[in-house]
Amino acid sequence: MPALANHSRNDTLAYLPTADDRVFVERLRAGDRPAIAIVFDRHGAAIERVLERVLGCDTEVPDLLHDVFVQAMLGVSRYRGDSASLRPWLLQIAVRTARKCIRRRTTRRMLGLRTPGELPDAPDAVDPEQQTAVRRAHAALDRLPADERIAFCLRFVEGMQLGEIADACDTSLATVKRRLLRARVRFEQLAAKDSLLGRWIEEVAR
Amino acid sequence: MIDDDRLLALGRAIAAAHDGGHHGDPTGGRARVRARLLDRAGRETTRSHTLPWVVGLGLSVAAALTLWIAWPRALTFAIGPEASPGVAGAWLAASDAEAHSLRFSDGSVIDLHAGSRARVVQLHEDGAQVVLETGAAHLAIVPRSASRWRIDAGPYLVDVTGTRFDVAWDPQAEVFALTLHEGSVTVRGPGIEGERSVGMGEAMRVGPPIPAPLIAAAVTEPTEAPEIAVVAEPAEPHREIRTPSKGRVPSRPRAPTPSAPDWRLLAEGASYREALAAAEAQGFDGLCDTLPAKDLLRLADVARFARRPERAAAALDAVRKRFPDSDGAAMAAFERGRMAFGRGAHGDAARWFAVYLRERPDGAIAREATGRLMESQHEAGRTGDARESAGRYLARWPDGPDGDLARRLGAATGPG
Repeated sequence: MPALANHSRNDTLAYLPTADDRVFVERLRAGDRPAIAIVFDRHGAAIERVLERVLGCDTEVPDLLHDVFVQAMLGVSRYRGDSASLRPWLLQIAVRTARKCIRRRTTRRMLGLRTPGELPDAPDAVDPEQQTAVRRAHAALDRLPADERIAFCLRFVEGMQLGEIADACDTSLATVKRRLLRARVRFEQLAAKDSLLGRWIEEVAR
Repeated sequence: MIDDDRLLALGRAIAAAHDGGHHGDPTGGRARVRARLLDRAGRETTRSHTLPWVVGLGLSVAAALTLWIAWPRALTFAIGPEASPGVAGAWLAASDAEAHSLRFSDGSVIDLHAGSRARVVQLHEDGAQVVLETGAAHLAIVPRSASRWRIDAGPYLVDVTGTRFDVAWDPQAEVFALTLHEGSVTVRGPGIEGERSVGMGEAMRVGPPIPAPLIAAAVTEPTEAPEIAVVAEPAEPHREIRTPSKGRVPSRPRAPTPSAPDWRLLAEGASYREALAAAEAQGFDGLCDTLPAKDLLRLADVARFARRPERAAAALDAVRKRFPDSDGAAMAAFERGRMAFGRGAHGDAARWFAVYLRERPDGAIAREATGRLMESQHEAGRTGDARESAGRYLARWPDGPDGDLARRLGAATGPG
């Protein structure tokens, strides 16, 4: 058996819904619509959820979700993963997209410009006090540096493990730990200055 | 301090608010995104199919056929001694025991070192794009007027015409290395402003800083930025040596090592597994008994990058045993601490960082050692010790990179 392995794709699997994502990579490169549809159906909801966890319930999220998949289609020729699932790679693109969005908004805020996509009105079903508290929490998160906010939201809002966060952020575990520590310090300081947010944190922990 | 449980409960409440914010139509927005994506893909596919067709109508069949016959074909390649045909996009893994070759139809050859992994992602008539995922490779690219070869080694892109060189990428240590034997290449990537040309007889390394004693006797403040070094290759009888030109990053001349063992040369090219194997062939214990401190620290780096922590620890312990009270011994303690921290042995890590600080309280990396000591103690659950270290840190480096962590650990008012 040769020591150098050459793994080729099995084209007959290309459209089987149970096939792993690797069989779609070549199809995505060719802009194949059925492959795009299958990959989107598999991962679209998870990617949308991660964008929401990081950015909040935001009118810009659908556009960002679209951007993530367009970037994936355009960048699939550079895809180097061997994983049976494209999700880790898509998560990395989602994190990069969210980071760009946060930084763009930070810049706009510094220039005194509005950021219309942020924090739309919550639905009637959500308790007004809770709605306000969520807004305050997001206002605090808005003041964190982008990388710290992402680490914080992925850990505590999305509930990801540290290793998963490191993969999604394409960085080391140690860096994630440091970002989380710093994010917690900053968030705690901000929460301490906001009595409503502080009270809500106490309430939800009960 | 807000503990994990409360933050997780807060996060769940925020997530619940997000999930309740879809107005009862959680998939509606997603369905529209899906439709937009498919519409876009359809338009691009149509365009990509239609345009060549329209252009093709302007050509006569005979001319098209002639062009097709005369058109240069994309390269092909064969793998290993069996010359089994290679497939673009497939990953290629050399065994841990032996190197293997990729032979291209233009005569170019890529030798993957043992344990390396690569992927030929694109083949075209003028060359290929090869991704080196991990490990090292020797490349001999046949020079042609329109050669277009690109090697992606981690985040580093090497553009090649005709040349012969060694390239290595260690994703764990985040070290990129390139040694050029013939021709020239350009390199782009993190830590490199724009692109950098590497000429014949030069070696380049980009990665975390080499421990200070290896660079110079005068220890300098460590930095988080990756170190870039371009050095002249060691002299060989048949090879022209050219020193780096002005305007490049400062060169670091190699110390004259007339009897240098091969492991050092291999390490210079970032072939760490091979370098360690060479050191072991020469007698690893013997090297630990005879090498000077700076070479032992280098040998420990080589072992660490080759993922042989037990060898790295042996080399570091040899430094401490043979050169007590030296800068090298203190550096070895610091490195032992970093290794322990990396494997989650925070108690051990704290002990080693404390050793460094005891031996070199005002050493060049005392700040980083104190920060890491504080973090290790915190991770080990030694809250009181961590608070004490945090106080010392803030007293000396109130604006240091670990200042926020120190304040968080309860030392906001400093010692006393």
